[in-house]
Amino acid sequence: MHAIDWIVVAAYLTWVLWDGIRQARRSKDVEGFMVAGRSLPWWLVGLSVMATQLSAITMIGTTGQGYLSGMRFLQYYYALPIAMIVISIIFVPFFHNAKVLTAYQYLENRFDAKTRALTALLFLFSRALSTSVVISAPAVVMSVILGLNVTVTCLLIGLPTTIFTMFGGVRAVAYTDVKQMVMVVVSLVSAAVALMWGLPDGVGVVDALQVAGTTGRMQMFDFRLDFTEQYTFWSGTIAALFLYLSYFGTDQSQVQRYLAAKSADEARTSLLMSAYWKIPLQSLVLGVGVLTFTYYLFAAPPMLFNHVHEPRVRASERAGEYAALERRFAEAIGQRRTAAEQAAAAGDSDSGMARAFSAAGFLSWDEEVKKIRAEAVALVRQVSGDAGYNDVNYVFPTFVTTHLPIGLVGLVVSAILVAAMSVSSAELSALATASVIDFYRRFGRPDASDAHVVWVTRAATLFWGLFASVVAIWAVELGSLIEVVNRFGSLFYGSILGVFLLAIGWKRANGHGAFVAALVGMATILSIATWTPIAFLWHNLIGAVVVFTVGVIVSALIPGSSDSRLPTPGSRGDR
Amino acid sequence: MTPIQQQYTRVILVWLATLAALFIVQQFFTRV
Repeated sequence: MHAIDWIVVAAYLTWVLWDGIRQARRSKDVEGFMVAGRSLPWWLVGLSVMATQLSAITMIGTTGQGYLSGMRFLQYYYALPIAMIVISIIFVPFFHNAKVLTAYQYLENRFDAKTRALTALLFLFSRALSTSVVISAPAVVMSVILGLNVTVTCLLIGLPTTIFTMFGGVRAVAYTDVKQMVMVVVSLVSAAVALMWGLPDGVGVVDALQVAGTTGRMQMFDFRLDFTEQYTFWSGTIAALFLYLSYFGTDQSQVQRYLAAKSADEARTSLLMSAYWKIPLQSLVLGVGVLTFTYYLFAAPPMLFNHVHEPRVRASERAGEYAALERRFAEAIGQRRTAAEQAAAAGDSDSGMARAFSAAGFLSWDEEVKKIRAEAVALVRQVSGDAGYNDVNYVFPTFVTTHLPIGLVGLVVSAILVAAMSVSSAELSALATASVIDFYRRFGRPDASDAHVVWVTRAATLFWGLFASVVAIWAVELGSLIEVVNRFGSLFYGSILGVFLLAIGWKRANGHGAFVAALVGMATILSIATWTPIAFLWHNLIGAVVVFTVGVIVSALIPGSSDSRLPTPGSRGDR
Repeated sequence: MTPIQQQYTRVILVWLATLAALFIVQQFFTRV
């Protein structure tokens, strides 16, 4: 990277850090630190909620996914607008009327302390690990791209984030999110323009996308009802609805943001902002991936985008095999380019036969390229012993650092780093708030003063920040293990949603019923995930339904603890 | 309808329009 790009990165990161710390002066009491005094305008909360879903992983991973398999991942987001409406109607008024600081606090008021502790603990467990992944995944990629040690990139993301979150609280999180949103969108649009600009003379964007379409990359609707398929229209609209209800309705890292809105109406409007913009934004991210694919149809791509093990492979006894693959790859890329040019030219033809013929020629060479790449990945895995080696996440950063003009490279690299920082800061803030409000103040020091609680929350932010950064560094070593544990945590989203639905939707539900149902729901999902091929998104729906049903039955059988100080259906909400 | 109900209606209409537009884009680019 050029010195000017490094200056852009350094200046931007310094501004983010300084502006975050500056928010400390308005974050001196508990409400100010944890929910920004419930004073944030709807647009700030809305941008902040949207920013949390545009992490660095989205910028590097989702664009890579667009490059490799196209737009089909977009289906994952189809339920989001409907989920936002449901959350606005069901969850927002309950949380706002209850004046809680964490989502789990509501569960104690409605049920009992053990249900609150269980859900808060599940949140801490899964979020702590996901925060490490949010830091480590981009840190690994950026270390290779920028030529820095991975420990340095982990700390480059983790430490400033910890510092500004510790001082500025949720207000710093929200303002960093706004900066991130602007940077990410500017970066993606610039990259899209550069990619379209880079197409050869005579090949238009429409022609290029039509060629991409022949490979299935423009498929955005898969109407097959297949429960083992991860991304279909049905999993994206029905099953994903439950994922979003759980994520935006019950996860502290999201709830905390709209608790900071001035009123329930402003919180609703902020959520509806995501409802309008999420699908177009995600189309932009995946579209950049597809455009990167079309760009590399006409400009030779590297055989593998991740070069981390290349020196070792070239020095190994299988170097000859690797060189032979490279020669085959160069030949296949040349042939594919010619075939792509013919297919692009035939795109305007009225003859369906001519279009089909040229598309078939292109597809056979594209298959050959895919096959060689797969062989190269397998070879690198065998030589390096790195079973998780992949290059999906390296496609977009490689294009950025090798093809964008000086200055813009620094801007995009900053956007990736700040995206990782802002998402992890939201999670750190939520982790610290939940650990202090749901555990320290609840079970340790219920009578602690405001100043003491803020001080402890800052200490908790520091603890979680260091924890996440250290685990992120280890995650690089442990690789798939952390990912497995992280996935394990995300299995329980549906069960937690079930507990909240029970709290809000079933007046006669009680604490014992909710607690037992949560455990049964978690055991059910664990069994389904272990012994059946049912795709992840459906786990959320099954978990929520099992918990709700079991909760209703157990609550009817066992009279139990239910301290309904908060509104439930049928009540006026003013008790 | 209250203002917030009008907002919900608008979200649903925009959602349906977005899905329809994406479907048309898919059909256009996947025709051979």
